[in-house]
Amino acid sequence: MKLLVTSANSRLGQIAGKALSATHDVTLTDLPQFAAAGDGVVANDLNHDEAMDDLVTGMDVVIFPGIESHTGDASWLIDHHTRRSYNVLRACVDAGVPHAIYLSTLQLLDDYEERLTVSERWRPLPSTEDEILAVHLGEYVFREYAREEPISTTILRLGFPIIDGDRAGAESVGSAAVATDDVGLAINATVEAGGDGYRLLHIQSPVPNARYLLGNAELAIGFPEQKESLAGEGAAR
Amino acid sequence: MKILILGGNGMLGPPVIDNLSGRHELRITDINELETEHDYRQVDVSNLEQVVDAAEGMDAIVNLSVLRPHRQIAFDVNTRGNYNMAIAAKTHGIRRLINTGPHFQLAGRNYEEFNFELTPDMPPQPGTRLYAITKALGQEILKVFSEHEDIYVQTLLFYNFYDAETLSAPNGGPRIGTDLTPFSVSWTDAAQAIRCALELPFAKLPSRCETYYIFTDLPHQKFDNSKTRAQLGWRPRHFLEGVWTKPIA
Repeated sequence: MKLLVTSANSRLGQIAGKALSATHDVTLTDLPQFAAAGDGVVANDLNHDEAMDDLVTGMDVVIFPGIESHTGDASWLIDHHTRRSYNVLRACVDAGVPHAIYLSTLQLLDDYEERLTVSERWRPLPSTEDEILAVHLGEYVFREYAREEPISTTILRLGFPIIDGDRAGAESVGSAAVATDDVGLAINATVEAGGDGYRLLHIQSPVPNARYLLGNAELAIGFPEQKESLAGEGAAR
Repeated sequence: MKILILGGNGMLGPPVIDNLSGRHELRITDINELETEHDYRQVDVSNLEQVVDAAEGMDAIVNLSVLRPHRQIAFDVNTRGNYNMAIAAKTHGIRRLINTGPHFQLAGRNYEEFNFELTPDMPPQPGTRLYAITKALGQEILKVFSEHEDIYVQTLLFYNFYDAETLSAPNGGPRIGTDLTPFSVSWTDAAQAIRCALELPFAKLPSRCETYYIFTDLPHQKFDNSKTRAQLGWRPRHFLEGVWTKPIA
């Protein structure tokens, strides 16, 4: 499939790009201030213009990293996650791109106590912290596009912290952690599963006493794929 | 009460200023220059520093600013403008924020085209129209701040405004017997709703974030303004009957 990853030089953009490149035709793009000449990343402001339209034309899926993307002050973050995501989605709709994925965070549900069975059915409780608020608004934009436009959107709320490596490393970090291997796995599985209207999925590594339920992700995209070393070891359902 | 008005030279600004003058101490701001007897500052609502500076010493902020068609500026004004208002309130300990917008920032097409008896306590479904979603995102920012700070947000939603005597809407002549968008109100009644919200004791608010539909009593039963009457004590004086009735031969 032909895929576009925005904010490709951010941490999560790099994780997504690396995970998808082996099996898909991936175009990487980033804002001009983050795209160096010759790094294989297309510089684009994600503005409402022809360059934006050209960028998404012919794509099957667009991946928009929300959390652990580029940082800035609150004004910059709100602008990026609302206006730029709106521009990307509008261009996708106009170009007939069928599916867009937003990479959000389970920190939106951090205020719930650990003992609660928090799933996608629980209302997010965003804080006023700049990045969390901005990502919450990014989800809002993706949700409204799925509601009203001919495009499917999937929001992957990723665990925290996001740690480098495989899921074995996530166990020692925290009950909500997600390993980069699992992030890549989940993004790949979401791409392969295709869009289905509006989907909201919680993604964390299946560590013992995992904080968030992963039943919806398992049903929708087959995540977490069972690995021998962890099969049956406390993966939340 | 010392009140900061953002977007004071917009559509709703003049009648609101007329209504509040003499009862409250007003600081008027707008992105454009404005001649007024009140304290005036030129403020771009999308500029955080300007909004925070303008709010110093105020007891309440009324946001009447709006920008509809331009992709960049709509987000700057309608979305980030509300963030700036929230930060100004937090910075200066201002507890009362009056926000305004169009009804479809809450009751978007998926509600309005399909349903009746729509209330202001439904979850927002603005859809993707630029004006609607940018305003809805701004509202969401204020809601999040109201859940974490000692800030009371009252959002008043409007749509069509009419001159009560001529039954003319903006940019148009009288609309006798043509029916109307069932979310219409006279300019003076709209301004009175702002005053009702400003002067309502906090103790009478059910929560720190409340939304109200501001339209006159109409027979369509498309929307429901009973919450506005019950909580704000607002009573429209103009019912615009000439627009929604027709002569029978």
